[in-house]
Amino acid sequence: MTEKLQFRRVTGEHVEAEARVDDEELYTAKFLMARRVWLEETELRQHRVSDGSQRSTGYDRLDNEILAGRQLYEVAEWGGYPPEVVRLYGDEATSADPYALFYPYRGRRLSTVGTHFLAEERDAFEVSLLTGLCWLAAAGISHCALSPDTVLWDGEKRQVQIADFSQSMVFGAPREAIPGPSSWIAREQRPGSVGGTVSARDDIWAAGRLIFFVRNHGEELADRGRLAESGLDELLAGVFGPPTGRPTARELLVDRMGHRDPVPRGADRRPWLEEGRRHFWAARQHKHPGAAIPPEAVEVAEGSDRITHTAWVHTDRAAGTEASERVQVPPQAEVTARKASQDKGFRWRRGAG
Amino acid sequence: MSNIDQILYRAPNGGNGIIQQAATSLRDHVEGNHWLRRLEPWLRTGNPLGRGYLAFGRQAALIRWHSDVTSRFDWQLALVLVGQPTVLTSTYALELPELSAYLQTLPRSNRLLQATRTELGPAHSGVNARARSKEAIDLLVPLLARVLAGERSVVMPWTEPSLPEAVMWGVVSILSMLGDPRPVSFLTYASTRAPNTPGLFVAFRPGAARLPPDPGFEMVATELASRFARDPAELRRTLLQFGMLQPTDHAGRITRLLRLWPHIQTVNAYPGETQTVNATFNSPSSMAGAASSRQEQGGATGHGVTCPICLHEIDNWDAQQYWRWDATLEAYVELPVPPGFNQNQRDRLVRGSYVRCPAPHSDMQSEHYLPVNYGRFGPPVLLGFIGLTKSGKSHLLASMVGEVQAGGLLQDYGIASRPVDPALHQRFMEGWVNPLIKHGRVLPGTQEGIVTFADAFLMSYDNGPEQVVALFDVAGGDLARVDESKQFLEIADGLFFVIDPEPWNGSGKRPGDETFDNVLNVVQEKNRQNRVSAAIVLNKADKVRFDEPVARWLRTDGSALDPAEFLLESQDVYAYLHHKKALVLAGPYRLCDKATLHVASPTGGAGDGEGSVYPRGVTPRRVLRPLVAMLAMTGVLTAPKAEKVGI
Repeated sequence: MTEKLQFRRVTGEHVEAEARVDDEELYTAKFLMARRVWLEETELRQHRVSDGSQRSTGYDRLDNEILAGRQLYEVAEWGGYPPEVVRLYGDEATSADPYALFYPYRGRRLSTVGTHFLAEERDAFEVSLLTGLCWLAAAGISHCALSPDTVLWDGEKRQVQIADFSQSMVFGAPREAIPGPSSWIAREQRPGSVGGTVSARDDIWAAGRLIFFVRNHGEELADRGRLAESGLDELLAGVFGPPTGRPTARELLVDRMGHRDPVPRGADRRPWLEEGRRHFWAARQHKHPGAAIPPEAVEVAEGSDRITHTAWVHTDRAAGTEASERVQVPPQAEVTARKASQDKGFRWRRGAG
Repeated sequence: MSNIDQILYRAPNGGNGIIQQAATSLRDHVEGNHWLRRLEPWLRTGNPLGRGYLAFGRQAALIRWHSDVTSRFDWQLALVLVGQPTVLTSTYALELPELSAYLQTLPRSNRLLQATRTELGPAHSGVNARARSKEAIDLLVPLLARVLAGERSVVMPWTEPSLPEAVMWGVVSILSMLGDPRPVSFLTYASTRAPNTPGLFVAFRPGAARLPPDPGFEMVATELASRFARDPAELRRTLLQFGMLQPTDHAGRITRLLRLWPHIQTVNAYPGETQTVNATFNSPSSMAGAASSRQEQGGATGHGVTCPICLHEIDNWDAQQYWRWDATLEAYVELPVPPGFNQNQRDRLVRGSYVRCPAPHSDMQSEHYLPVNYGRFGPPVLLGFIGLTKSGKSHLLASMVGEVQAGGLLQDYGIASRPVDPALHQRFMEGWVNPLIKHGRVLPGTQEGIVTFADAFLMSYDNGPEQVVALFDVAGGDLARVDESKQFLEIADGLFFVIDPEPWNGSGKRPGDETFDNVLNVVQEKNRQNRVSAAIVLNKADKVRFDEPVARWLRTDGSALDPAEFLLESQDVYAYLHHKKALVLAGPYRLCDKATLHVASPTGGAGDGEGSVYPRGVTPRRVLRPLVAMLAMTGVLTAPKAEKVGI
């Protein structure tokens, strides 16, 4: 069966294409349905809103998936997309029957394979899971529903893939109650005790339990005393406390495990907004000389020199080296410089400012 | 010019049939049509038992009717004299004879000659004498008492021919002696309700109730009427010597009278000896209830209000006559307040009533009415929605009102609110809010040519005084034209500049909005940059809901009155417009001293066109934030942190 699809690629261009469709339903999030589609030879997953009385919830869930996909794309840029999170291909978000297109998921749910990890696989799992969370944090997204059913394991590549962003939220949003078993939902997200705003410290609670789950062959953490027995008491110290005192994924990965931060510095910034923001503060200064500037905006408002040029790191992918070269590129020259470098086989990642 | 034009109208089937101009001295055909349109309501109301004198500002008209004695219709001919009110005065109008004899002198053609004013009218001595008769004084006292009490439209019982003319002669004579400059109009026989005119309007109607006047004002009126009956010239001299003709307002004139006749006390009187005038003279007795109820709430009394529709300065709101909407007649009808009513009775009576703007009107169509609460709580705060057609102004306004109605302002910000005009609010709820919020339907665009507020609320913050906040929705097509149909812009306190991102987002189209330009020109020309606040709303933000920073703000619907949060949102929306090369739309931020920028989604998703249902349902997001920012910038919210919003 074929269908004509009109959608927006995650890269921004609009696509109209004939797609081959497989009507077999795939496992996916509640209030959504999924099926395989093929655009020429490219296989994709199409997520749509389920019919029924909860359809309005389905719209929101699909929006969450699209937003997370787009945000992750923006921070990861072309060619540098992290395999630890599912990847959006495109979306049609304006019609009454919207959908999202994802690259096929990789791996199997932890609920299925989490009981059979080898020791070296467990280490890889922990690093990969925290790496994925670091990218989520850079995108300003909290998954909010990490569990053995939403995290996949690709045993061949020894990589995690975090899937199902249907309940994800942006940092700063008021927390909403997440339905589900309390073993995977932190107290601040459980119905009846929900409160506060979403932050980069929210997902680590469920991630810590996943780490325990894999280390202990599928055992759910019921007693924190078991952490020491599993050798996790230091790594996961503070993870199960109140959200404000929890470590971030980056702190676990970099500070406690000694790995490199997978996310280049400055990737969480939106450089295309920086110039406009400076214009704003200049306009305000003109109207109200000496008016106080909120701490969150001081850097932008006063650090114009640092913002004028964005530093980029391009890594020689062919050589497989980690060595990088930093170049200063003014915002208006970003696209040209990036394309020229990619033509030479370099991989670009936004770096320190 | 002392000439007076004449127009003869014919109504072969009486006042209920077609009225045609039969002859005139006017040379301008258009002017003739104009007078017919203008006079038609009064032509149909009167008959040969009376006459009508209508003071329209720079022109006045006298109408006299004639009926053939054999006719079964109320009248067939009406002769109208029109001229400057300084020439065609109300007293002269009363001194002219009945029409029957005069009609015999008119030429039998469609061309009439102008009439020339004589010093005194032929009936001068007759009307002068009868005005001082006992039966005239008996009717004059209650009428004068109500006029002194501040009523602008008075209906008196008609009992016999020519008596009302005599009574009116006495009224206008005494008001002239008092130096009262108000134009006086009257209809000495009204078969039905008559439309009002600027200034004072008195109608005599068979069967009308003889309402008891306020005892205090009745005392003043009795004193004036009895002295007038004894010796008008002496009364004139007395009043003149006492400085009654020196400029003052209505309250000042009453105060002078009380000083002149101190046996009429203003306070602590007891029956039988002296009489209390039940008024403060800043607000006559019939309005005292309304005034005092606001005083209790900390407002000022007797202040002026600018009409938001025509910009007329209404000097003393509380002294205006009340009106109510009669659904049967589909018209506003006068709502007299019985002078004997106590405060509670008055409050209850005038609840939901209206005040007619007293500006001189060129025709009935330009008459406009404002809710009685509009001017009772200090200067209202006027907020307007600016933006192109289809920018979503109406949806934004409806969503805002829906959230206000649902208690969002109180729940999240502690701002209490109630409708200024329950009927208006109900109409807006039924016509706009419910179809959108309850039924998820796409609303039609704002109708062009309608210039009044869509809804208005009395809002108070932190147990402070209530203040009127009026919300104006003007059609984009109206705003795109430079004309006089949106005068409220000249006195607006805050403007929501509403942006639809779709036309320019990713389309390569050059962004721009002539409605912004037109309105900002008004702001700039009037040098009001520091008096009008701006809230630029990136509306229909659901269309760009995946774009940073829109996505983040749209999903973090804060409920704090935090100036820093407003500032950071403004920074981000400004930067977004810059990134989209649409910074021209941020012009209001640069021009207005106090300004904010916002993202808002009145519906949460797109619809397919007017009347269709939003497939996702309607889930407004961040629609209260621009309103809260505006309330802070315009001073409705008075907390220290509110003062920092928009800076």
